[in-house]
Amino acid sequence: MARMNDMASGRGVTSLLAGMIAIVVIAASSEALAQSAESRLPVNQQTTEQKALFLENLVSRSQSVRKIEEAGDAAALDALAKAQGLVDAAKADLGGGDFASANVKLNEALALVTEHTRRLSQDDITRRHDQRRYQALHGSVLALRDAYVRVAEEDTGEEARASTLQAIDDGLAEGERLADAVDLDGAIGVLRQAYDVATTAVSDLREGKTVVSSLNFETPEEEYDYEIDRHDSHRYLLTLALSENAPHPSFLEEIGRLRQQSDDLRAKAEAQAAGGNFEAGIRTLDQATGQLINAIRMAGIYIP
Amino acid sequence: MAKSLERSLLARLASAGAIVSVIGAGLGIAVLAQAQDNPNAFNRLLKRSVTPNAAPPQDGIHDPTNPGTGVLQPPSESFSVLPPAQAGNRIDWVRALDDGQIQPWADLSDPSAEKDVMDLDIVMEVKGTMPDVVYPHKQHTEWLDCANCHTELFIPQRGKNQLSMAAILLGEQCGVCHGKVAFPVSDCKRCHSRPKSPASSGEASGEASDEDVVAAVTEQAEGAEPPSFDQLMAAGEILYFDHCSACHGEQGEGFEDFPAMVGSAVVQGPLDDHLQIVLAGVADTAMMAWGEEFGDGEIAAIMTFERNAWGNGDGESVTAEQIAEARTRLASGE
Amino acid sequence: MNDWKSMASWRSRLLLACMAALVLAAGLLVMQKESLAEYGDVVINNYSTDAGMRPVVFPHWFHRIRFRCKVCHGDLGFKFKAGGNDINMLKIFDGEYCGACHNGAIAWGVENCTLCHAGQPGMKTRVHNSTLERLVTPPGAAGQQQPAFDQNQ
Repeated sequence: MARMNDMASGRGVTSLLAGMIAIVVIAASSEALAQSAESRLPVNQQTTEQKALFLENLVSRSQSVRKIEEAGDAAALDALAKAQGLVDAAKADLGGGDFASANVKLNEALALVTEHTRRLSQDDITRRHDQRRYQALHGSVLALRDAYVRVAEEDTGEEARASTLQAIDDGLAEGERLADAVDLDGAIGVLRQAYDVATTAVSDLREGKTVVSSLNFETPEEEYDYEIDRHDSHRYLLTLALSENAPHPSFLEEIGRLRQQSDDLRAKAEAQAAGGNFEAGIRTLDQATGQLINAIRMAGIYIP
Repeated sequence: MAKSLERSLLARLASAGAIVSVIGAGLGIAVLAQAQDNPNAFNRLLKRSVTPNAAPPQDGIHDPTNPGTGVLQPPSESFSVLPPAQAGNRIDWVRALDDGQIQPWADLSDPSAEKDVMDLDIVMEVKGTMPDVVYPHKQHTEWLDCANCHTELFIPQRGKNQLSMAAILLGEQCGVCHGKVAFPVSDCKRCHSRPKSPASSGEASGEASDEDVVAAVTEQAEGAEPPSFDQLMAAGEILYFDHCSACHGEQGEGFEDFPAMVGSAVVQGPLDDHLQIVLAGVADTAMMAWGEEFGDGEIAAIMTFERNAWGNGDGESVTAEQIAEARTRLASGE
Repeated sequence: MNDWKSMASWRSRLLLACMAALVLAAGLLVMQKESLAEYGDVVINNYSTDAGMRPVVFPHWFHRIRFRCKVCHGDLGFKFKAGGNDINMLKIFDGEYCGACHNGAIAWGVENCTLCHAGQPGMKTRVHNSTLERLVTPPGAAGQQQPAFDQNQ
């Protein structure tokens, strides 16, 4: 008798173990079942109630309702009435605790309303999008035209090709005319061509090249402002370095000392600049930044 | 008979499962112990206590009690097939695009539309020792239109844009994207990628600039004479002051935990031990692997200086060849 | 007989050990010190809290795999600024902003509220873990998490 109990418990234990392992394996492989997010979205009482509240608002006193009523569109009004009926039915379902079918009805109501408001708003939205695209394109073409004139002179020493400029200008003018006549599609099409002409012109001159923008300070004051900004930058970088790398506490003391030295030097530089001696201010700021660079290195980010 | 076979199979399965779980728990304990700074923790390599690319329910901004959160795709699943990077999402998006692993649409209405790309590099000089910035239009125009940046953010003309690192860190200029969505500035070298040439230092002529002195030991033409002891000392002094003195002291006197160079057993001792420390660094300390930052000429100069300054040595140079040979030795596994 | 008894109890002990180990491992996973939400996630809370909904979490990473930046930030009119676009549900229903794609055709439709409104209640509009945030907010405060760059990778 005792032996049978032992055997039974032994079997039970091993099957439990096997079951646990099986659960782990199944859970791990469930990710491999590629289903869309929405079909896996769980629905519960609380989210359905929230949705019901929102939809009730939507079908009774929202801007969507106003839009449909003002448009006077028969199909839309019909859909709205149907949606209102669905929302009422869904609320009844919720009252009875059946949130799953309530959710289905609410989704249907939402689809009905959005289908029609979308249709009614389409023109407005398209016009707004087109206006945005037109303005962006117009700005780009203008900027590229200027760039082309400048680049042609810098790179080739000659003036920009007149025919190219003419093509761009014609495109701009035609685009503006069409935009005024509210034919934005046409305007965008024309400007696209002008854009292509301009980019091709600039790219042909500059494609694959490297342009160097050197540092040229016209006055010591300009260089001083640059140095101040450089010092500020390193201050921020030190904050970032400390937060990222969390250096060992024994380094933090030295970093603090370096930061203090840097601040003192900066105060000195500001005093020198206030007195009109920008060159000295620049040199002192350079030293101050050097201290910060050491601190940043100690915090773990290497600056050459 | 069959029953007992079955039982023994299950038993083996069960014990295998048990071993795996115990190992898993052990690793978990190791991670936790490490996270509590236990100096004797097993496997110190598991230092990280951050979960990168955490799934939405665990990521701290999604609400785990929200029904939808568990359904959202975890980033790690998506990123498992994309090329890794150091910062931000830890994905090299430019490479992913170039390799064709992602094919983002360039136009909403036309999935097959191609994007116009312009290849133009702008080099922006910066003051100080940081390499110059190279801004590549190519990688940017693969994702953006000209109108996205020009002219609202940047004027397309040299000298018209006052670029400032501070502003970028605070989310302006380049920081409109970099530091928010595109890679953050933690990795300086991705933008500061063009090393300065000695001629661009803009020093007054007639006086050898620091860059020239260092260049004398680093830029060696084929068949030229190796740098003299004095050249190495001069260059080493500049490099030491710039890069080592912050910790080891301007006179090599050291500071708190950082060892002194003066009278140091390492600096005055066998060259190989000294080389090992300088080239490969010291793990878990602030002494980084300078072999990765500098070339042979620079390391030779710094070490010559350290071994001979402040009354340390006897006038013997350390040459670039010795450094190169040490590198090979270290690389082949000591 | 003696063998059976000891074997059975050995198995029960093993089972207990397994369960304990699994529970411990699970607990450790949950107890991980700090978690990092995805870089580039934008929390958008224009009207969500007022409407009793969780704020929206917009994941840039998921979208940049499928669309280039200019599609949303050029053609669809999204400004480069968290909270700089006055997005509300009605505009989305009409097909503006998010609704240009989230209409059931290109991407899931608007009836799946909790897929977008998945943020922790009450969070303010922000770009998660941006450099600006890390400079202005000290670490550990205001829900800010770990660094974006981990040297120990």
